[in-house]
Amino acid sequence: MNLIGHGKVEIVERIRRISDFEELQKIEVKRQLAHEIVSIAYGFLSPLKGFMNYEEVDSVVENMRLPNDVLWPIPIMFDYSQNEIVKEGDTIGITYLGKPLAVMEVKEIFKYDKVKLAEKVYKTRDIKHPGVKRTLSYADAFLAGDVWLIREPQFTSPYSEFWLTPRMHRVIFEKKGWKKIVAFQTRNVPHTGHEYLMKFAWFAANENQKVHEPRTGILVNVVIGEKRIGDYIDEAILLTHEALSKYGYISKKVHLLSFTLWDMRYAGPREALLHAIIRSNLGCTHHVFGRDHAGVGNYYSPYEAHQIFDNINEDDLLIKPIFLRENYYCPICGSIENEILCDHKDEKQEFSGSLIRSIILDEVKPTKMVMRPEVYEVLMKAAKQYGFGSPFVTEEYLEKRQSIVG
Amino acid sequence: MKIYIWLSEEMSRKLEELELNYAREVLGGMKRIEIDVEQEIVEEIVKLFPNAKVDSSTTKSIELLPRSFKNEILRIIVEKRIEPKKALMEAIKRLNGDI
Repeated sequence: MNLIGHGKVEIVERIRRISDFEELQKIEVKRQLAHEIVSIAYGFLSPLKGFMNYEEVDSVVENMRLPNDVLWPIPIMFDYSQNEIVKEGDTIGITYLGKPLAVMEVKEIFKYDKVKLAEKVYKTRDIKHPGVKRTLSYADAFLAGDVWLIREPQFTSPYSEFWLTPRMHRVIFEKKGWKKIVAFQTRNVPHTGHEYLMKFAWFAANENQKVHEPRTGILVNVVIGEKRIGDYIDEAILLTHEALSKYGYISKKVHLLSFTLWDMRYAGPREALLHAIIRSNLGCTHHVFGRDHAGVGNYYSPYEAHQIFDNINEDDLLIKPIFLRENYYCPICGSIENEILCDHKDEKQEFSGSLIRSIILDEVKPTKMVMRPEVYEVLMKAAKQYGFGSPFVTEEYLEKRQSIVG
Repeated sequence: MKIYIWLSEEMSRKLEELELNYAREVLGGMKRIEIDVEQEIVEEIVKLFPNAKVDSSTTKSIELLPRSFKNEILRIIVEKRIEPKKALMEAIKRLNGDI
């Protein structure tokens, strides 16, 4: 099986059994770092073996490349409070929710200009940008060094049903006979606009392959991480995407659902590149980029995440971008279209997030041209089961939600 | 500011049958009634429903109004065959105990 990942480096899982964990100096980490450690250890962020040092961070910030010239758009950093006494050369134990998670060989402890980092990565220093806010709230020092997972995460249901490591993704792709795999990144419950984005992307990724049997698959890869009030709850996102294939709207023959642990930075074009890198590590050959990919507010133009690929050499990535316009419902055609495919843009009915949200908040079942009935039913069931009655993140959900990791 | 009331397919049909054509198709066969409300009415509604959210930037509407209130407006439209704004005012009066 081909395990070559980003940077043309073989993906190696970094899992180590150790007996002297209790004797190590320990640091308890926040969710973001725990998720990134898991992602590094399994190869989602390959070729990274750990958290970046000063030279790597500076190279990424300034040039979007690691010092060895491999494309990398967003620094992966371990911020730590200097209240904890760690020295360069130490091996430390990392705990999460009080349980052993990983070990780290601390090679370097450094400081970095967080304002400069924010401005370069996010193209703004506006504190209202969630990525800038996150960056500026980092502790003042950073640890660099390789990490090894010492305890494999056990996910709670429903996450456990959709957890796949990069290696596991590749095993399934091979078993299904897929030669091309197009990644669809999402943080949303699917409406028909999304469904048709996936279908259009399937045709684009299938290229010139024969169609007597499926040789191309769609990987729906949900980003699971920090939630903000008003987002869809994670459980609902996973279960509604599952419903889309369970009830045949996208054939199981071409559909696979999984998730990546990652706190969205909303870095727009730079984050689009990172998503491409992660999905290339999963073994995908193509990646969908729609309107305002990984954007937030008005910090990036609607198709800025497409434009950044003009400056990237084909050789820099193992994955090809598929650029799609935003879909809308065209009442003239009576179907899902976009501005490239139909000329009725003056009549278009857009699938805006706030519109769909207002329909759901009004407790009105959408028409099947807006959201598939089974998807809506699963959404409302997930709201009861996991969301304290709401399919959207509320303060109560943030406070009481079940943990992802058991 | 507006109040949006999304219609189920059944309610949509019912209003059509009664020739109460107040709804507008917005997305993929989904219709909603849109009621323009003046500032003093907005304030009155927010007093009645403190959890309601006035979104003056994105949707320019009063959000998170209870479904029961919206159903009451629809019920009055159907029962009295009056236009949505009048039905809204009547629903408010009923809640205030003025009717």
